[in-house]
Amino acid sequence: MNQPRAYFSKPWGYIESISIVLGILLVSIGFEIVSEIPTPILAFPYNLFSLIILFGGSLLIHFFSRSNKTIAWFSSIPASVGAIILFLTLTLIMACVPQQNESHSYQFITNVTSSWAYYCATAYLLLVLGAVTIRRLGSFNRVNLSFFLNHAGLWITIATASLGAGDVAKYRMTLSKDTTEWRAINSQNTIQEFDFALHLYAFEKEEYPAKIACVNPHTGTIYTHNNTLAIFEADSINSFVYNDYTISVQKHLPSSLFFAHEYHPINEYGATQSYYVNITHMPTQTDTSGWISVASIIQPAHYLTINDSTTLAVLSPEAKRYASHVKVYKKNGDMYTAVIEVNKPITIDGFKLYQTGYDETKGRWSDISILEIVHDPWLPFVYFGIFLFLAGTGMIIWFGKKR
Amino acid sequence: MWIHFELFARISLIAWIFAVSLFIFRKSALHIIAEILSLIGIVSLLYFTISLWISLDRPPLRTLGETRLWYSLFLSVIGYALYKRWKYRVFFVYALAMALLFLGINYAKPDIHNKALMPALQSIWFIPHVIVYILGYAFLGFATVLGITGLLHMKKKQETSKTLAEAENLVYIGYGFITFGLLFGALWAKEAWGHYWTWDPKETWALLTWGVYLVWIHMNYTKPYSHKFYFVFLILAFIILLLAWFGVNYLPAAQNSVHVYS
Repeated sequence: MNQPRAYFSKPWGYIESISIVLGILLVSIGFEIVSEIPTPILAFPYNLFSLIILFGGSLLIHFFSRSNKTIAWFSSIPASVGAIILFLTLTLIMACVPQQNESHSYQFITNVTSSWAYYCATAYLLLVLGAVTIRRLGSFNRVNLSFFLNHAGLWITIATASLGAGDVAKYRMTLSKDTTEWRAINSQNTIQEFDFALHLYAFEKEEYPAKIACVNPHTGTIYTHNNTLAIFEADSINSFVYNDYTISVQKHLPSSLFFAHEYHPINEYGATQSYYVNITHMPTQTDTSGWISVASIIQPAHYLTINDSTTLAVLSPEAKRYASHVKVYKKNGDMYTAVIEVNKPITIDGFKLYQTGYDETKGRWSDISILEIVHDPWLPFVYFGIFLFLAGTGMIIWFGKKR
Repeated sequence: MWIHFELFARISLIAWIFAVSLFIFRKSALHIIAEILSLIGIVSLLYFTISLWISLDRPPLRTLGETRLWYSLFLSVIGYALYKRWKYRVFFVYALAMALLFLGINYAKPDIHNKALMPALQSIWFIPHVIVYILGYAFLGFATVLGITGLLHMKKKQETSKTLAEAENLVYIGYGFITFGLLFGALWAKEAWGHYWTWDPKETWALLTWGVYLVWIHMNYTKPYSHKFYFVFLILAFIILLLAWFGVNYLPAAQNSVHVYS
């Protein structure tokens, strides 16, 4: 080990690094308690200014590093470790104390991400990380590339995600069938009007073929069969055996209504899935046939009795996909149609529209559709940072610690 | 299609069990046979997965049974790739053993094939997110074992440079995988909920774990401290990892976590 040296004598090491971050932590907490000034939510253009100032700060550290050893220290490993530890200290508080969203005194404990300490920790981390990244720019080789991808990727991700958060806007829009809507509710429950309007002309929900189950008619529980639940996928097999019975599916109507003693293939309001099945009791070779179906919003379900303790039923189908078919009207007179589907959002004037819900009590005949509208202008930059970071991580896994 | 599962699963199960047993021996001729057997198991499972995909007419990603199929497939494939890259036999054995476990669950309890996933889990990120954590935790776990080994060596006054160098490499790889885990989780969350990061307790603990290993990597870069420092640090870091993994469910901060799945 080195000779003992005086506190804050050069070259600085870990002790000085920890002292500096402890200073930052105490000053920011002290400022919060004494001043009671809440942290600002940085929206455009102030977040952009902050980004430029932080990046400029890193550049300044880099340029003055040549002439000043103390400034050069801020792009050293001990400085980096200190910056990480400061950030982790606040993370540890969040990890242990349930966080609240409202502003509060002692934010650094109960609402860490809105505290001055968190702002300062993030700023210090970005300053050091930026300076470290710039310092290693220069000769290009594999090790430096991995270094750059990891450090620049992390810098871009943290900087754009945290500073961009102030510009993210979210709204919830409820569309009713055959009506036009241009208003949505934001997170503060106030109504926002948009420069575009949506007309829901169709809501579409596709279902998987409903499964058939052997249930106890008194309790509604599903029996087990060969150690598994007695549920049968009627789309892949035409007949199946349950104890002494062979059950064969004669017909499957994905969309049907019941009248005149049977189901007919009809695709109208309230239509449901139905099966025509034949049950054979094998020891006696006696047959029973009939319709079984899922309940719909206008008709009850149909069951078929196998014996006193067993009934054949159809389970509620699972959603395969659901989508809103809309006409989009814009202020300039443009009009076009679009489909908004889960995981397939559409973009109008920089707003992303996500399909999030519908009236679940009505299932595929829902006459409302719920959309989430998000405006996140910094998203491409965040993704760019994450992409660099992923590439750097891939290099770490592949090359390990080989020098 | 699942009715053909038994045949393919049996081929993979038997091939992998033999492969794992052969890998235990030190003879390199046996390792080549084990490698071939592992590949047979992978191809069999891959063939089944592709046919299942075609027969279902959708990616098999909707039920717990289907996700386990992918775990088995990816763990065996990644285990093999890492074996070719790093020659960590113990790792390949671990990956195959985990793949066997998931395949075995599907084999023994076929009814959970059909247990549908909740909509938020129906994402292409689900499987990669889980797999990289399984691998990352394993690498860091092995690094911890080396940390303990190193301390024992030091007690016996033996040389520890090699042990530390091996541990460093394992930490780098494990750290890489848990970084993937964090980033995949963020990308998934953005798609599912519109935020990449919500400070969910599990996320927070995972970040803490990630940060502790990040500190280790940085402090290890120029090695200003004794080997003992790094070995002890590895053990402490793994305790935080275990807390993040198991402990979070019991914390008061975790009552509304989306990651509570016990």
